[in-house]
Amino acid sequence: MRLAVTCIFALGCSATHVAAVDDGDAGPRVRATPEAGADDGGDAGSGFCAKRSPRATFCDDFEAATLGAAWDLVQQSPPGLAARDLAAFVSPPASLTVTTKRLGPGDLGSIFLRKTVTGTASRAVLGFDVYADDPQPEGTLAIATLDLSLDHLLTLYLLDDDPVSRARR
Amino acid sequence: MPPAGTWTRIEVEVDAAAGLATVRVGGVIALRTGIAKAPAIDPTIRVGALVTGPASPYTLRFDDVTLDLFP
Repeated sequence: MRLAVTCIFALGCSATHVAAVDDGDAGPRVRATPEAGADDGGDAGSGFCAKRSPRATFCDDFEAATLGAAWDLVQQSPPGLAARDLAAFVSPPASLTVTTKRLGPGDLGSIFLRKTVTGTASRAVLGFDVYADDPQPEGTLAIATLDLSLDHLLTLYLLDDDPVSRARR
Repeated sequence: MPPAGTWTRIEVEVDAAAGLATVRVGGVIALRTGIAKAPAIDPTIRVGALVTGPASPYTLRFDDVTLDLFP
């Protein structure tokens, strides 16, 4: 079983295709204001964020002892749990682990960190490392969103693309 | 994609000027699609799990979250 990525746009979605392009990322960054909380504990330390060049507009490597210190909101609507994981990470000393609990049909679970960066931009790049087990064959699981504005939204879903388990639905 | 049980870098790039959205998984383009040309205004990101049931317990991990904005 593998995972899949799907994008859903509220506006302007057109035909999907795959093409090879340059992965370059050159150009000046918009610097977040201090009020936006761009400089979390990870930036101030010696981890991924501190070493990244050029520095990101916003970055969190979960080096800070307090989960969500750089974020506007840590949402843990029951059932679920968000915590720092000191045992598994890409860059030490920690990652973010999110655990959901069993949900019934139609139930919602929201365990996420949210950040808004004040300002305008013509291009935005959201990046993260993710470690996910096989997704579930039922329900839906969104792992990240990038909202450019109130009506221009992008959501990444993990999907079970195993035809056997999907056929059981 | 991304493969289960391993750390994988995912990048979501939205180029409002060009009207393109691109998703890269492990540095490889997994999706590229046209979008409406509208600049980002106070962009908001979320990482975690937004789940709709029915669903069994599930755990996933994130690290090194970045947001780069370009004027």
